Amino acid sequence: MAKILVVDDAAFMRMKATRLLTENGYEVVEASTGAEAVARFKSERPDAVLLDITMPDMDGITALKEIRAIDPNARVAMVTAMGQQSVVVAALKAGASDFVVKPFAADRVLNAVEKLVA
Amino acid sequence: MELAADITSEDLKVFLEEAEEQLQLLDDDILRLERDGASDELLQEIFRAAHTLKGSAATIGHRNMAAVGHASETLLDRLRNGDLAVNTEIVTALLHSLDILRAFKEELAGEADEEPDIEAVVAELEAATGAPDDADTDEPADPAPLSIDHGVVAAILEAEAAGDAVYRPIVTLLESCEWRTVRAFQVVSELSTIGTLLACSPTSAEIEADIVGRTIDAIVITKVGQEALEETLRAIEDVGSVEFVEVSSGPSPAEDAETDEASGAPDQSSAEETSHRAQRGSQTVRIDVERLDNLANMIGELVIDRTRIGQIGRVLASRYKDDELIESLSETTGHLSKVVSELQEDIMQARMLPVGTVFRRFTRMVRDLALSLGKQVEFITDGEDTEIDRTVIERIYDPLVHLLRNAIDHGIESAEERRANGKPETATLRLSAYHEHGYIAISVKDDGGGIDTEKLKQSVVANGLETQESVSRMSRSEAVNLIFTPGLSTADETTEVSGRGVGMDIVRSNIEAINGSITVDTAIGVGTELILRLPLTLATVNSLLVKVGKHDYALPLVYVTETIKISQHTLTTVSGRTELLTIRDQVIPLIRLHDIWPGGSGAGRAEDAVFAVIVNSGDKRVALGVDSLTEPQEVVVKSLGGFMGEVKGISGASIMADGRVVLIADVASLVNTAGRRPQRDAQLQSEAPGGSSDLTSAVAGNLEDAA
Repeated sequence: MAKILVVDDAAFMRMKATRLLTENGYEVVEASTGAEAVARFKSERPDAVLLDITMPDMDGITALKEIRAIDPNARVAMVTAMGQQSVVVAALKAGASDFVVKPFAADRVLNAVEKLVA
Repeated sequence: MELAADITSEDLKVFLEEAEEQLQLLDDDILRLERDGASDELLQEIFRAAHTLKGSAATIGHRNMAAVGHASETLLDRLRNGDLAVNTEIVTALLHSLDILRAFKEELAGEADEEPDIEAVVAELEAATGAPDDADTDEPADPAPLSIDHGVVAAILEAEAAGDAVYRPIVTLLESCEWRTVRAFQVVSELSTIGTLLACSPTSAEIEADIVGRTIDAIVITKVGQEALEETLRAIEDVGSVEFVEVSSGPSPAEDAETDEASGAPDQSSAEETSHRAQRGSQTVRIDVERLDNLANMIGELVIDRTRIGQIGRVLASRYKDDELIESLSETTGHLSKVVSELQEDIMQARMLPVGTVFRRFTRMVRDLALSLGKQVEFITDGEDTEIDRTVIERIYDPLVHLLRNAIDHGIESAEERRANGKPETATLRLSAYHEHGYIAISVKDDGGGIDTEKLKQSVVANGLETQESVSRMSRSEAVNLIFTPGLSTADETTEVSGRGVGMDIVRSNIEAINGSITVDTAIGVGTELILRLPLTLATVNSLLVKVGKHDYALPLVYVTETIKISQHTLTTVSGRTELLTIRDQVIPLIRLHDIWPGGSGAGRAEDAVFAVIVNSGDKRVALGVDSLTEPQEVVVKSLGGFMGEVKGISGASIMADGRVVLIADVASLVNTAGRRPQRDAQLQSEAPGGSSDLTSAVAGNLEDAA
């Protein structure tokens, strides 16, 4: 069973993602800040990460870079609300494999996660 | 309020709890913002809270709440980026938006019945934001069509020669794709991952700038095969179709600029059109000047290596006589040498532009200027086809504007005056370009009144630039050259046309900065001719190589008039310091380059200088004392990096075949700081610098003396 790290500062968003993923047979670990995401990535070694971009303390891009520094092959998809495409491009440049737009459609998230763990 | 179908009551509960937290935080923070003013951390925190609230609202499907959240987020983003400063209007708008968000929340929680109206608050937020937030909905500018330049064609040929497959996929994104920039970035990234991306429209720079259409047109070399390539591209979200256009290296598949501009967006250019365009081909390609410069630089390096290999080969040949391998090395080197030379010539040729491109710009200027001054001028241009390096062309535009203005304003007389002097009322102003001894000469010649040297002398004296005594001793040509005196205005009164504070001295220094020279020929009542002599290119410079102490220097030949052996000429010392050489009745100051460039330990003493190189800049002439001379050669100019700063009397550097670094002397500045006018210079005009063959033989003669 593939393990997914869901990172979002909004508990509501985490809950939605976690429920969707567990219902579809994934094991889910959660983190609510960038720093926590990095720590959990280290301890849990998930197969893939769904990473929110806008978070307090450490933003998603910084967390992404730290995660990729821990494991250069880390599979990360960024989660973002509609906004500046440049942030997403920056994330893709920093090594994100994919991204999901909030509010996310269930099939889109599942599709992205499936690709990440493939 | 209609919510998304999959929202359960538990979802809503979590959402409401969290919304309350965010609203509370926003309440406190916005008030803090008003009280304490903005800080980066505070604005970031407010932005994040609004952003999170908006994201969650959108997820539960609450469109109105998300819309208000979005409008506040946009305003906050501008605050955060420093585009806006916090003011009462902004704080009020944000507080109003909070009220509405809270009302929505209460309505959702069942605490209120009325769903609030969002129009007023969104309008208020937008007014506070300033420019409407249409970045997401605006059709962005269209990217330029795929540009296939020399480099790409060469790479395609290379790949084909190596048996690699080259593909040109045209990816069309779905109409519904909202994030074209990101998708285009993903397409380009994938292509770069599975192969070598040769060209792409939109380019990476365009993607960075959000200039992305619905299609992505690319040329890629890859080993994975068309099927796998297509599969990879289709796997990217929002990719609608992937089509392949045949890539042919036959005639360059270059696009025609004008047609492309007319056809516009790649959205409109279907695969068929693109394919048609690719097959039609064209005889020319557009190429970035920077790329040409890079190529020229690399070829410069190649030239150095070639010469070096040649030298090594010769050493080996003398060391191991009759060795077959070494013979074959020399043959190969010979061939390499030939190819590199041709390559160098070709790239120089590619950098050339006919001077007509700049001449054409003057026709209108001359006409307007003559009209405004009420003068009748026939403007004739000659030799427009003469080709010259594009960097030189850029650098001569301003000087030529100045010379032409001067000619019309000061040189050419009014129609009445001309008639009174028995000249045709319509003056002739001729701008011509021609080849002369390996240089390009550009002449600006008018049949005007000529330079009145008496008036010029008075003006120079009146401006305190020379003394009455010194000008009274000047020959006519010395006096003519006074037009290059810094700070001089030749007009009786400063006129609107020429009185722009840019004197002939600036013109001259601009021309000398590119290793060119300028000379004047004038006769009262007959006219004035100014001749610019310019190098064909700035990439290399024909130089005389000299040794000073331990180091080698290159003196650009354009400045060199002759070389002499010091001992064969009279040397006098004045004021105990300045040395003067008398050469054919002319007295020329001698600058021993050892004094300017101390050569470090073991360097020859200044007194040891054996040879003098006579150099000219403008009307000044000096003799530069050096230890030894080598034959003139073409050196490849490498500019001194910024870190070296301004080195006195040095304009650049070059690397010789044997790896030695040679510094290129800035002769004009050496002459201008230390030079003086020759005491007698009847031959100045005829001895204008030009790198004549006489000079080369003179140098060769001295080399023989030295040997």
